[in-house]
Amino acid sequence: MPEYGSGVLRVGSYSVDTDSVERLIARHGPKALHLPDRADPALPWAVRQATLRALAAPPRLAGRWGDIALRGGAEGPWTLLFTGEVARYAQSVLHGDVSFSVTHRAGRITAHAVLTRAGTTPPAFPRETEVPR
Amino acid sequence: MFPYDVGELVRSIVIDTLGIPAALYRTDLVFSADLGLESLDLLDIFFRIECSAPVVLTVEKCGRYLQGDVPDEEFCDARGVISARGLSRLRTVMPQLDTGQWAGKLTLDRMLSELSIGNLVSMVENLLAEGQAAAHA
Repeated sequence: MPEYGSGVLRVGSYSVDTDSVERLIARHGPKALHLPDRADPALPWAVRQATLRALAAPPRLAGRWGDIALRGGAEGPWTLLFTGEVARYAQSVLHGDVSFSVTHRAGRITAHAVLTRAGTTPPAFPRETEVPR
Repeated sequence: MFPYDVGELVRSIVIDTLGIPAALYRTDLVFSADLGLESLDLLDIFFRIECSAPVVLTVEKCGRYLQGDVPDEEFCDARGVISARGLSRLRTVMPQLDTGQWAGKLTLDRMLSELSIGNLVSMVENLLAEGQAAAHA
């Protein structure tokens, strides 16, 4: 897609209030969102949603949250792990890598997942990490 | 048949979750445009319904219900824009969707924003019937 530069295939973005995620977890438990028990649950939630958007995951896969895990501490580096049907789908649509960035501002967390062609350098974002497929 | 009225269940949960006056409740209200919901609000409503339902409801099942039997590669393009076939499928479960207006424009991200309360009621009824049929199989 030319607007992102020749190396970038697609960008998925997701933004959410950290309080909203924490309230939902307090009411329904971390398992409802398939999130690990950690201090910053909004981070893996936002990264996972941004990644599903970047992959253009169809509805039948968009709710398979358990198929995407984020490994790493609060400051990174982070690694995304795909399993199950999402892994099979990602393998069919990914022709390179996924990079992602996360920003916190005013109680809101925003994640951008960037799909890049193989062999290209992803755009520079703060606290960026490459994601092995 | 179900042991309770799904429409009433959804009504009470939506009113309670959103804190809206009961008099304002209508099944043709669209979650995003009319009620200003974010995606997590919709999840909250769904989880509350899930807790009250006699069969297992999951978000994944909702996704399968919306997509129907349309294959992944035919539902949307690589940018997440829903195809004509995908729109046609969605029209069966979201009858208020104007396929002419949304042709080539409706994205996966935007899809749930167009969901109405009535669509949610139908979806829950359908998933409950499916779950009960599976339990008796």
